Amino acid sequence: MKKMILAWAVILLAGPVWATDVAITCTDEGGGVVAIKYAVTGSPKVRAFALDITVDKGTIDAISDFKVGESTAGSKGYGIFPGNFSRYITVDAATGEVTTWDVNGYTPVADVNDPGALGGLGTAGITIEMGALYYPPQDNSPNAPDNTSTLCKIKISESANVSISENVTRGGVVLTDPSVTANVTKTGCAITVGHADCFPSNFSTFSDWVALGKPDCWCTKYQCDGDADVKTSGFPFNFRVFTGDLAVIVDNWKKKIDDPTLNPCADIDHKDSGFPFKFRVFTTDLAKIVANWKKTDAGLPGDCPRPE
Amino acid sequence: MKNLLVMLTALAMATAANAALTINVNEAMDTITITGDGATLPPVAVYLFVEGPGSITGSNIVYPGSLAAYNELEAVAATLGMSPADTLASFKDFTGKPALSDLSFIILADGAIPPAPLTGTLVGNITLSGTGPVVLTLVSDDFATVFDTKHVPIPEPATFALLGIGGLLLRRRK
Repeated sequence: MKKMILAWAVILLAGPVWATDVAITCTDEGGGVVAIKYAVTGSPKVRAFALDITVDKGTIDAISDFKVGESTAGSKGYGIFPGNFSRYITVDAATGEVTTWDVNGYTPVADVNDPGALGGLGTAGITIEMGALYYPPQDNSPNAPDNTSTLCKIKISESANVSISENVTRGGVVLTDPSVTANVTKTGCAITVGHADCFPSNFSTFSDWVALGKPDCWCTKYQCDGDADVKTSGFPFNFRVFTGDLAVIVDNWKKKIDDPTLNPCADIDHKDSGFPFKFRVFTTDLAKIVANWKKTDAGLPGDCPRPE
Repeated sequence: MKNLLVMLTALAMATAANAALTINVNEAMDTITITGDGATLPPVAVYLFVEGPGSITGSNIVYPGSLAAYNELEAVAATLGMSPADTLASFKDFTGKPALSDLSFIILADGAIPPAPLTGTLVGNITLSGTGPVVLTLVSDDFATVFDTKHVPIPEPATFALLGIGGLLLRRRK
């Protein structure tokens, strides 16, 4: 029995090592743009990717920075989109060549009606399909895609967690030798949208906004009119300024800018009370709540933030 | 009858033991007050729901907060731009209370800081009338907190009549 185990071990060690590790990641490019990247180690190379990309809040609104067409030494990448190829690309019957790759609408995003595909742009999830064709077709071809690069970039509507997974129905990650299964790791990312530029830098209160940690609530449509909790009262009145907002003011009453418990959303007028106390939340903030008490969205301008 | 009332009062007190805002019904079962023990802080907005054959009218806001208000069903309907019947139907659907027969919307808020606490009598003189047992519920405007529930056994007219006859018989026996 011992000899048999030894023989198996020798056979296993002597065989060729076929293993490809594929890491798919995403990174925040700023302004809601997320780069979808890959890194391949080992062989064989990746022939195609079919990935689902989803966000837990908001929507994926655009895709960009993807390679289109055949991979060449001067322009490497995964530019063949299997799901959309037959819809958009014309192949010359006589020459067998693609007439043009520059076709409007030819993107890696699979159509929502394709089996297993997610909702597409404008929804919380897209399926991308990206393959590579090159000549000579071997992995060591000078025209083959690089082992590390960016597949594409997507634009998301708001701060969200981006998740990436293989779409098995559409093929997942396929290697140039389809008999070998890739070891694929997918790592999502948390993307923050809005902090950089949602509050106009030419406002006199911009420095206060920065000092308070760039609160998103200052950029919402009704906060400067008293919507401190950034929501309505719900069924049935939908008051924009009501008890929830007043409660936020009460909780933060007379707090100063250096108070770590200060909720900056309570600072309705975006100013302190001046010398000598410099309370961030004081009578002028309360006065706005009282002035707009029980108003709905229809009764408010909805144009916050406004110049002070 | 007194024993029954004492028992009902004891039951009501047991129900309200942990409530920060409490519904109180007088012995005659024709007047409601709402009181607070200070545990819940202002501002709050609450609904007082009536389920069963009864209704509530009139009020006297005792809470001194400048933003305090008592809105009967008609006022709620006016704010929503709907008829009282449609408003009630809408609330029945939303709350899942098909026996809902009347409601009021009470705001206990103050435009001064610190606000007056929610202690003692907050709303008084709400008149309760009806022809049979009702359930009163005091619930926050986000429907997340039920402050108090009271089962009020308003006797039906037939029961009143029976009680009257019984009283006469007792007198004759004496």
